[in-house]
Amino acid sequence: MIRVQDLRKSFGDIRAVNGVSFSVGEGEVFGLLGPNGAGKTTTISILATLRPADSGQAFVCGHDVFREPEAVRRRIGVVPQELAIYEELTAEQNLDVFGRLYGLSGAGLKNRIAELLDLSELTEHARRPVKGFSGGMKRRLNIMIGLVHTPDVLFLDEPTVGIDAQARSKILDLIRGMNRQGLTVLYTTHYLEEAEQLCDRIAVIDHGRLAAIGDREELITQIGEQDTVRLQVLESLRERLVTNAGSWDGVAEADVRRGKVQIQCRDGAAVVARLQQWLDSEGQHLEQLEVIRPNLETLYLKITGRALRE
Amino acid sequence: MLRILVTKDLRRWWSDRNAVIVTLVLPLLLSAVLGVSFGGFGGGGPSLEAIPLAVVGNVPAPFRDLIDNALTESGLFKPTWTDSVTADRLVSSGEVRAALLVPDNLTAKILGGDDVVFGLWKDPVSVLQADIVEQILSRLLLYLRGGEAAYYGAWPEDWFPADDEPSAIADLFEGDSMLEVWRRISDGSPEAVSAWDQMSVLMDHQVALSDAYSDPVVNLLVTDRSGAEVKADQAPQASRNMFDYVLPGMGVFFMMFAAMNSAADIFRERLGGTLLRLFVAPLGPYDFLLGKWMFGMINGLLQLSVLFLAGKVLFRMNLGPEPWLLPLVALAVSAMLASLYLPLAMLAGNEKRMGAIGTGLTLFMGMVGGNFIQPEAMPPFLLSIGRFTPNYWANTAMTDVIARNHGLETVATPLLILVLFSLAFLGIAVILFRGRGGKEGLL
Repeated sequence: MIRVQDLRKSFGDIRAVNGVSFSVGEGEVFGLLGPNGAGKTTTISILATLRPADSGQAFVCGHDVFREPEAVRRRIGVVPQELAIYEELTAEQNLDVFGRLYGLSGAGLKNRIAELLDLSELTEHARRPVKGFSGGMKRRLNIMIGLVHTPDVLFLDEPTVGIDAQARSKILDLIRGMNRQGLTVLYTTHYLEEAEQLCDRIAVIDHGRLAAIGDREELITQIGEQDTVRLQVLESLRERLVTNAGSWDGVAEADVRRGKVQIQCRDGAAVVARLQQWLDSEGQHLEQLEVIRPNLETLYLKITGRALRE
Repeated sequence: MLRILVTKDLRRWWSDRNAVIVTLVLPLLLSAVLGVSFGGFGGGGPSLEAIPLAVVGNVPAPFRDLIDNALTESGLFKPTWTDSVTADRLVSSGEVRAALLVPDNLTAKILGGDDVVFGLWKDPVSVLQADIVEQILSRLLLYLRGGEAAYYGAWPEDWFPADDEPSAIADLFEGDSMLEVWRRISDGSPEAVSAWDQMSVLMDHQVALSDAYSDPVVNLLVTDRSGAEVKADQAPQASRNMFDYVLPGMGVFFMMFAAMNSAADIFRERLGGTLLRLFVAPLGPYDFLLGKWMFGMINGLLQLSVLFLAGKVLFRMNLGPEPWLLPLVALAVSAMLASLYLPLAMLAGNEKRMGAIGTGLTLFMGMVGGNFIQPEAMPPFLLSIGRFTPNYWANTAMTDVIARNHGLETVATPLLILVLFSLAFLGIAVILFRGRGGKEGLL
């Protein structure tokens, strides 16, 4: 649904997007993860036909973004970072305005508005001016406006900024629901846990460049990040275990740290099974064991060299 | 698309209490303040300073005093008797607003029942005061019209009996009932016959007096400086309601601020993110600008409608000679004002900067364009600058219709200029929009 090839965009001396390439399949939720100023919003702006690129190629739903902007606009929905809604109008009127701009009218538009209000649990508030809504309600309406014309691809630019955990959870559920119905989503965020929960694949973007791309496992492989198995055994066994574990398949390193044996390995579960066998053969048992899998925070730190919220 | 964009802005306007107050309530207040200050409820006029007036003519003392007293005691004129050359110079220099030319042999003409024509030179620059001079003089001259002349000509003062002389007519009507009076007339006594004859003559004079009033012989002929007559159709009846003269300038000035606020909505849409959302929708490249322009125009028309309606109902504002002309002028003025600030919105960068520059620009244009002071009272150099401002032409078009009661023939020029200004500002806004890189630049 989306194909981007060597996209570049500069503002003066600043290279906002610097040779970005990726593709998003139909029905996929694709996350663009990066800190503020990394180039996420600029990338979305280019794909949404709002900004021209300096060079590169971009296709959305098979249409060239630069040569067929009108066709692209009809197939995409955009949910900007800001609450892009008319606060003086009601929820229903907001949906009505944008529906009409996309050529909807009559019963079709009315039904679509009712459907979206229901989906976002705003039906009861449909005829209230938006300025009286809570932050979460406004965010939900903001997303619904992007969907009013039933787009094939939805660009969501940090849609959960500034709302509480409960409202955020509702929005993520909403996006999952829409995705289940076949909607392709390009989702930018700097919340790691959101990207981890929601996205099928993630591209980490920093300083305008894609640092890594793939699903969680692929990212781990790309970066070489490993599971850590940490266990406590009798002191007399520690050195023998370290020596033995070092020769097991998939183990990169084993040593003793702060009184515990620590094994760096590709597959933590396999090592735990092998470990159990070894302890049985020694007539010993585990006192304490933990398997630490690398999360996105760890990955992100490794990729960019800094924490996301810095 | 334009209809959707305009409807959207109208809905937003209607839902925003502050915007409705600015558009509808403030014009009402403005017209009320202006009306009470200058028009008075029901269209009464304010007290005016005595208007300097030159009077030219070789008039015998009694009539000269009569004219002088009539002009002075009216409280409206400060007459200066002078010769025609001096009068012309005074009118030309603006020292007097008009010169009244009293005809030669005035007394003989009046007593002989000949037509009497007073001439009037008006200062064409000071249209307002010169028109007022004409209106008031026309009324004052009614006193001099045939009625008074015929009355004094036919009823010399010595005709009336002195207070202590016996009056035959009074004797004839003495008594308690009409029957008694009738019997006395029927007697045929010489006293009764004499009294009856005398009364018949009195009746004849009353009829002559009435005829003289209804068929005036004293007229006012308005001329230009060359002496050529300015006919009534060339000089339409101007309004005598000061409200009509003040409303256009103040109304346009007020609307300029409202138009600036309307154009600044582009920044509010940008900040709120809705501009981005509109630009992602399948709109034409300039639909957004045109939508803002059309909304501004409708907003302006609404404001003018409130102003005119309140002016008409409360202060008997003049709506011009033709019912369709004022709406046409309102449309042209609104179209011009709606486009006036769009180029600034393309240049300013943010709402705060636009507010600062726009306010300065509006005050300057208001000053030189005749919104604060009537153009006739402005120094010539300021007026020459003012003619390049669009609000000058908006003021002129509205004043022509409302205050001067002119028709399309006169108003066509300012109307055309307003349309040209609208197109020019809109064109500049489009060029600047493109120059900034279109949508990308505005975002």
